[in-house]
Amino acid sequence: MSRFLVDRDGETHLRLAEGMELTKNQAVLAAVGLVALLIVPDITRFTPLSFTAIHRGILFGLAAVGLNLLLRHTELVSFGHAAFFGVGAYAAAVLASQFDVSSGLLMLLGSVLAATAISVLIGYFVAGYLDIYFALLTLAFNQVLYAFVLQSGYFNYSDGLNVRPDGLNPPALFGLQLSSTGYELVLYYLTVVVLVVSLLVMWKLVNSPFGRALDAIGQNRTRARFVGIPVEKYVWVAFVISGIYGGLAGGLFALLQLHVSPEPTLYAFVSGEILFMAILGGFGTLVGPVIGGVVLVYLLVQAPFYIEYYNALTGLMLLAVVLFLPEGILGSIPKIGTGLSRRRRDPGLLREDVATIGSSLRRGVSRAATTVRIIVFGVN
Amino acid sequence: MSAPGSDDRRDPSSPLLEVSNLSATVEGFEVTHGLDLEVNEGEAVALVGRNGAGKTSTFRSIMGLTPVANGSIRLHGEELLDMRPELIPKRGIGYQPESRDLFTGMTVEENFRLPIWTAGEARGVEDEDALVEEIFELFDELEDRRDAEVQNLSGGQGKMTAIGRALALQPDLLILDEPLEGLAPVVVENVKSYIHEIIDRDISVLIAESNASHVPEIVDRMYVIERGEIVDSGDPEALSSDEEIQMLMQGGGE
Repeated sequence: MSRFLVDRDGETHLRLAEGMELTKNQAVLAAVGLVALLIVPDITRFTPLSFTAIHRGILFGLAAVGLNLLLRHTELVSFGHAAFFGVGAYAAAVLASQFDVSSGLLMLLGSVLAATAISVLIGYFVAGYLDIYFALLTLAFNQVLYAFVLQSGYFNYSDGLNVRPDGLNPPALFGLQLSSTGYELVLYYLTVVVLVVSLLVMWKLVNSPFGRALDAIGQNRTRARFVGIPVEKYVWVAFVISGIYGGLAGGLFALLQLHVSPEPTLYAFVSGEILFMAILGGFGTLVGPVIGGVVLVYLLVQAPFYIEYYNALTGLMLLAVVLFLPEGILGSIPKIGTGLSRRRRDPGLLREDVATIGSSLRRGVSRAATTVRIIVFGVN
Repeated sequence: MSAPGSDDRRDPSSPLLEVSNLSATVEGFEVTHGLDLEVNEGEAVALVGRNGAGKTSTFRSIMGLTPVANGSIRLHGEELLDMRPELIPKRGIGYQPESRDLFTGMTVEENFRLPIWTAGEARGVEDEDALVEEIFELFDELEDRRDAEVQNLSGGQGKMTAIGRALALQPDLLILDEPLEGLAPVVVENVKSYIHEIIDRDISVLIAESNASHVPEIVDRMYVIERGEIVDSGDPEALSSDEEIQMLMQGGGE
């Protein structure tokens, strides 16, 4: 076997680096995903698909990848990741509008630094908590930040700030002052590069000793302590890394929208959405949150054109995912794959599926009828 | 697997582990009452008592996992009370809890490596791979289960992994909480022989046992614990053949 191919229990794995290996299927999926990312601008040009919506979905997906470090490994549910997304976005906007910084990359640097600072601060207070307490504390910090920005003249209240350094044009990228089409395109590929690098870094990180220690902490903190893992310190570090991902995504969001206001960046609903993206895409996987981000944002952007009650969409989708796809989109692919190939070999299974669906439908309908009857006519 | 170099916090004249007047509490109830216990350098000591007598609570207090109302716990003369629990393994105590508490979803080897990654430097581990191999050499049965995830191990292999993980700290003192409990008789003999080998490597061992009959062939000295107090201590041979102690172990010592 060559340097890049290794044998694991009779299965060939593509080996990129120490601890970074892909099965054949994963490698194919990764290649398809990468190509898809690269051709998004071409496809959206010739189809009615929305380029900006996909771009925005990828950004939120990046924030969800960060949140997933806590969710998947330390088993902590953060309801406050909009704090980092929003702080990242506002850092870029403040640099552009109050300090006349015209370089997009400098703004991103500002986003990362601001998100680092705020996550160091919040992380210090929340690292010792678990479960519902952790979730509520992160939510509380998020809401404090939101309320503060909303009331602050420096951040221009609920109207927010423009990300146009000279009041007119978008920031320069790589020293270039681009037309608006060129700007969006260059920014898109910058986003793709940031995303791919961030995913690689996260992949390396979760397979490192530090990542294993986070898994250990997620399982049981006491257990982690008696092998010498400094639990709070590691959770704190993971929290900061997670926050940096959110801040970076927020900075890119500011560059894309060229305007930042509290509602779409800092509000607690945004935290909920980022969390839902990770669950929708599959929080047991590395890349799932990105898929969740793209799918959710795209649906939220497009739904108002098609459905009247689009506000119910997120809730209904969350229900559907929890009930039918608990492992999310990406997490379910292997299962669906084996299911399909089993049915290809044995078509008899399909008949059984139909029978199962039929009987569960009948059962559902009769149960619903009973409920209605009880509601309408009472128990007797 | 010898201990790392000397340390200025240490007092060479004091015993390796000195527990004195320990009163531990679980959910507000005092579970040990002024308990005294000592392990000297190179010694193998057993803490024998019925289920619920306070063995696990004593061990958890030593590891900083159970609140202590009163007393003192010293390792090499250094007070461990009020020390953050994650520092205690770094000071040199390896702990195999009764419930094994392995890191599921990880392989046997990863379970061995985790303590080295986090505490290896503090324990003076120079060659991580060599230490892991040394543990696999000791528990030769685990060698071909190296890449198995620990939830798929048998009961005996799980105990061995838990003991191996504690050894990965290159401990000065190894605390084993009922290492033989719940194992098939053949496996019990196996695990016993591993414990013998560990003791032969000059690692001090403190073992909790509810079955006094295993104890004389393993340890040099034993304590009998009953209702959170040490009621007797001394030569394991003599104590475990003592009728009163036997009655106590069988739950008849009222």
